[in-house]
Amino acid sequence: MSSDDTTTAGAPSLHPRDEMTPCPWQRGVHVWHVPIFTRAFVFFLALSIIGVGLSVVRAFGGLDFTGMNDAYAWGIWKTFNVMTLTALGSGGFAIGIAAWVFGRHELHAVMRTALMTSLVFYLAGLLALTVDVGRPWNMWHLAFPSHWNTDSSLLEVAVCMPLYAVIFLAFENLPPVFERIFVHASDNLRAVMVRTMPIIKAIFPYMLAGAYVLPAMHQSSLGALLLLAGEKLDPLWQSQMLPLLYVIQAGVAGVACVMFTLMIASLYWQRPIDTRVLGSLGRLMSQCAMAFLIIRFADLAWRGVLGRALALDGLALVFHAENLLVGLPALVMFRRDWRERPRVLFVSAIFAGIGAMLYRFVPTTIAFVPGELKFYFPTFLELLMSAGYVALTVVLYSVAVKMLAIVPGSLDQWYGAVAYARRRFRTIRVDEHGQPSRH
Amino acid sequence: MRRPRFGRRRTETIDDRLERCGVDRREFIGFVSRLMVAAPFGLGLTAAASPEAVAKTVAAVRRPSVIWLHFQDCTGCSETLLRTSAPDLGTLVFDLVSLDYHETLMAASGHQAEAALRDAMDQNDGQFVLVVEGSIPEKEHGIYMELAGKPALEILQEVGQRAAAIIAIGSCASWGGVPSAAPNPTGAAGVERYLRTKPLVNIPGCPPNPYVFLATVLEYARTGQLPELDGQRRPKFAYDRTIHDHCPRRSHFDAGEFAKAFGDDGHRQGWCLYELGCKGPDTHAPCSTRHFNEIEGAWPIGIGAPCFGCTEQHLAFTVPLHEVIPIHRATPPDTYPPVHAPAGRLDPLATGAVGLGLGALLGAGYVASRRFSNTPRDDRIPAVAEAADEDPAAAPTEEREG
Repeated sequence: MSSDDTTTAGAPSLHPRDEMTPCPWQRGVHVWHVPIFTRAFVFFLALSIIGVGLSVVRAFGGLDFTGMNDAYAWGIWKTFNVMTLTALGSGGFAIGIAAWVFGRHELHAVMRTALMTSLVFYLAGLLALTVDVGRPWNMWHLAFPSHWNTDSSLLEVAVCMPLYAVIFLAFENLPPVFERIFVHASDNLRAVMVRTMPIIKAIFPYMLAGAYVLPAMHQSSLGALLLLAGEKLDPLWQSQMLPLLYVIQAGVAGVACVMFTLMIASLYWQRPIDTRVLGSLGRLMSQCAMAFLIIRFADLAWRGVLGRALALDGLALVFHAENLLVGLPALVMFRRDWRERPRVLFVSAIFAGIGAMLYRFVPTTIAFVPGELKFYFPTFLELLMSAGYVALTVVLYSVAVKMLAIVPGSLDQWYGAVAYARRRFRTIRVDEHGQPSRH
Repeated sequence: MRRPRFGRRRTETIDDRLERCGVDRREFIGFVSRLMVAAPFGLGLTAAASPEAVAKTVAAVRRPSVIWLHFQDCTGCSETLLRTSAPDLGTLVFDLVSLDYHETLMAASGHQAEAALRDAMDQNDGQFVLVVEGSIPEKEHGIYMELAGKPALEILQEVGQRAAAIIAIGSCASWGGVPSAAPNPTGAAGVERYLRTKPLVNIPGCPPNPYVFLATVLEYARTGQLPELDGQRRPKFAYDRTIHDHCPRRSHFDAGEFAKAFGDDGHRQGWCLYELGCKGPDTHAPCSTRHFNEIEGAWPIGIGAPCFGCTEQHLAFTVPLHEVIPIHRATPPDTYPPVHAPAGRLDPLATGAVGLGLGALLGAGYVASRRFSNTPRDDRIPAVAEAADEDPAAAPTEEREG
């Protein structure tokens, strides 16, 4: 980077900044200096509109424009948008457990980012699930247990995933929304909110508990679904341990996705990066990945298919790629000095994220062989629709961070955002510290 | 394609030969129709629609000169050619090929036999088909099998180098078979190990179906080309799918009806033998549709004995007879074809889009990674800060999601 930098020269080896220097990330700050409609935003918005428009075509025209067939009933929307992207959306789940249950309190600085990425990925995943299931107009049945098809193996996922996203995850994302409403609200609304707050505070722990139980349930159920595929799935993947491995790998993917999102947001919106928090995330990712690899190989040895992994055919190579992509970052993140290098953190997050996504993607596609002569490759329109949903996550996330205090920043930036808001919104009622003013 | 001349001495066609020997035409048509069953597709020889038309093709073939060598074997593969249910069929088989040297069938012995081998090689040098039956011992310079004072290895090299093509008949000649079972005291191996450069077909089986052998040798005599082979050099027309795919007991497998012990109720009712150790699901062989000795049901599973995987090197003589194997692919390629089955296809537009998208994402990820410092604990703003006010939309936000 730039050579005129002297601020880090001669830094002591004992990391005194942990005590001396305030951390760059102290609280969520709006991305206030960028308008919502930028060129990139319009591009992603157009792509997502195409994607949503195609799902209308699919609703009335059926599945004819897709490449799916009777052997491959799960197309790219299920294998990528639902199976893979909800793993990326597990950051709120994994980081929440690490922060609240295992007491890694430094992670609270990035909790809002984690929860918001989780919410947008889950919403996009749910939309994909809706257009992917056979009769989307019956989706409302899920709200009423009397209408459930209790013989369906998809029931757990179908009930649990919307419940988590719409109730629990949305609830967890309330604080930044309430903040915004509160500072803009009239006196009456403020009074109502003040009275409601104790109730919300009281139920918050229970909602948190639910928010950690439900993802564990449906993430493992996604793995359990593959048990039904039986021998169609290659023995390297087909295992009784699939549900557990799926939950752990969701942790890897989720944390990697949050790391990536944080660093890209910092790069893009000029925020300093906090290697202390990112290093902690990297450590969490590394621990999940190690647990994943240990369980996976122990299970392979237990089932006696380690020899299959040594056959250097295509599937075995994919298997090794999965393990290497997750295992290398895990090893790198073990070392403290490497956890403090921004570029290493960034590349590790990308590698682990791709590896974890591969583990979600491969068992439902490449390693899934329903018959020797069967073949599936998505059509262009299917891919466009799939990309449209991904673009939708970008659109939702970028609107969210520009309107709400999500992306972590320093206190200086917070004051800058407050000052801007007080100039911009005459009706806003905050003091110069951003606290709601009394008058 | 140059049509090979099989032998300077014997250039007569099968038709000439049959006529000269007064073979019954009806018998020949019967043989041809069985050949069509054994090789229903994949061969030019049997491609015609009716037995009469195929008989015309076969009759026009010049009789190939065949030299048949025995090594470490049980002569079962020769027996399978001879053990036909119709009395004259065995004779007919020897009218189709010109069997010039065969140790167990020839009348000669000793020096006469040696002379016969030498004559056969000299007269059809480079034009005869060598059939090898049995495995070749290599341990301790091959002393475990000698013929006329020479080890088997030497004989194979000598004869094999002068052959037009080699057919390794039976599992022993294909990879070693029974003699190579652990601990393999003689160091037995198949032909493929020693003669890599020659055109070679493996016809594994213990014993293999004789019609597969005849179809292969006649096809080679007709066109000078070997039939299409799989990765283990087995002809695809016979070894392209597993026994399980067309097993007559398959419906019991699908219904979960398994014989649990020999002689129990399920076994008596002809239920699936998988749990008795049947290796059918992993064994590529034509047995389930082409039975032996021209008798319906004359094959292992047909008489209630589990398949032991004789055509597969990783199964036969390696996995215990009654050990249940894991099933990797339960569904046959063509079970329950749907009425309307749109086949998936590779769309150039879609693959191009995927390639471009992935390439763009990887490139963007690399470019983004270069903006981050490699210095430990560098908490500064990443290096694009100068461009902040002008164009915040220059880079996409979520690079990795494609």
